[in-house]
Amino acid sequence: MTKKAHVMKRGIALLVGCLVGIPAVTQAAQERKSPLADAPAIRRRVELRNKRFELGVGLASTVGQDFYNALMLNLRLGFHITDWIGLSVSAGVYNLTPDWRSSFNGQLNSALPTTGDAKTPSQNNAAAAENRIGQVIMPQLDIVPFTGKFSAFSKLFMNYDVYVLAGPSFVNLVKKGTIDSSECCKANPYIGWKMGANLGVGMHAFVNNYFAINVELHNLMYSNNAAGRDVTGSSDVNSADAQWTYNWMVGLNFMFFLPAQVKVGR
Amino acid sequence: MKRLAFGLLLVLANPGLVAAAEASAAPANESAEEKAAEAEAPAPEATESKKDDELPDLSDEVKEAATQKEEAASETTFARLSWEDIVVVPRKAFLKRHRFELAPFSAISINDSMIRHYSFGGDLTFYLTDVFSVAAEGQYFIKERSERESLVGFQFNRATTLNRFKYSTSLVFGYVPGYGKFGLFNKYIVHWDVTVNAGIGVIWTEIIPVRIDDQIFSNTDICPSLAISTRMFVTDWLALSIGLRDYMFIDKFENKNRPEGQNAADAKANGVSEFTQNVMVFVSAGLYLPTSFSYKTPR
Repeated sequence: MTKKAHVMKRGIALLVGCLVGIPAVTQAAQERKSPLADAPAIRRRVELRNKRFELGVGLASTVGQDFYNALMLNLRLGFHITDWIGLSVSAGVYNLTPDWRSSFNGQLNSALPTTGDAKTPSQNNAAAAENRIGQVIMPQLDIVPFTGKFSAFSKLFMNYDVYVLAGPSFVNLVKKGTIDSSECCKANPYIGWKMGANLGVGMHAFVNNYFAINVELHNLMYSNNAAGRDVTGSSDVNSADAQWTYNWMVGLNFMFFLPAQVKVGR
Repeated sequence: MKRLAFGLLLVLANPGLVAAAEASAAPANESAEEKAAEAEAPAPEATESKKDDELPDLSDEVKEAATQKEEAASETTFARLSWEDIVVVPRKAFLKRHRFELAPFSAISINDSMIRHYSFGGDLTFYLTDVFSVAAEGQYFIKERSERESLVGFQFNRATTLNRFKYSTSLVFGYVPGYGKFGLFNKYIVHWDVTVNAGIGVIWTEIIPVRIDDQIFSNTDICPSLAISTRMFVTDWLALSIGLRDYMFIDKFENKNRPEGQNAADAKANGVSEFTQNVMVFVSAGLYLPTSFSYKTPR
């Protein structure tokens, strides 16, 4: 065999080796997978919500109402279908401050006369036409995308979650006082149960595995005529004078989770 | 022919080599937790290694491997002398020290039911350390009178005295009291921090006259501010923030009893000064320069 033939055979052998070997290496590289690839972001996670009930009590307050704010006794009941989705009902059942005037209303009322004139309502008549929130019921869907742990002053470690909430809202608008119809300016308090929408955010800070501090911020959207006076210029006060309004409410609740025992994730 | 045969042998052996490479690569990918778990279980291995001398049929290689394991276990035990060696927060995911942050922002006022202000502005922040910062802030306001305000005259025969904000600028000092991370759908880890700010600046305002033809006067007010915000780090050079800012100042309003046609100077002299708070919710996107950072400590 000549030297040239030797070189050729060696070249063929190497070529065959490369052609067969390269796909094998490529396939292996594709199949090679980090053992952490399917691992959860948090290992040995304490499942604080999954398949658990929560119930609690607290306070809820309206923010920035035109005429009367309300500080309410609040009840909250919920069930977490999974760790990140739950159903709950938050309800402001009793208005503790039916006479809590907003700063605007305080200034307005003090600027009104004690006896009405041809164009201006009296203080009492203005107040009697203005509504305020009596009760609020908010069935809602809670979606919990954010969960974590924080420390306060490097001493107190707490698990927390942040959720967005959405659902319908049922607001009972009530009045206080009676209108003197002999005075000027037609008025008709806008009262009764009104249905609207509820959007907001909330968070739980877990003191331990079964007790949490809950904060919620709601935006209640419903039709309202808070002044109980003409808006459209029709010289009459009726449902056409009601307009969609945004009403902010902040709640602070103390929640107990059941069952008290929690599962720990993989 | 021998060389050809050797070449073919190489080809056949190739999958085997790949498998061996995979096997050797796998331990390198093991997490620290798994390594720790291995290290936490040295007791049975150590017990076995103590019995090594009692097992005459073990080969030298096996004995050597067992000795190595024992040494590794003892080294690990030595490394874990104290609970203080356990790193709770291994490393900050984002370093700010000696970096600039340019953050355009938009805000909306939330505490006045008569008039709402939208603002657009920017912060230029320099981080003296990872937690202390100093910033220059500027913003321009756009006013919107609320529907309630427009109804006051119609329903109650009264007029409101309002001021609009024009623009403001501040020097703001910041401190980051806490930072952390959270899991997003238990899939992604997002790092965040909380910042508190205190600032001092100037705000320019002007009255909205009750009578539309009356002259307008302006105010230049000293304006301290407080703020709290949270910042989420998206990349090494981008962070998103949301927070509250409270601007406090004494503003001069039009007198309710201003005579019709009174000039601006007299109206200002007879104006009513009131403490005013402008609470705004803002969102911003912070761009960091330099766009990258490097760690200077081993962990």
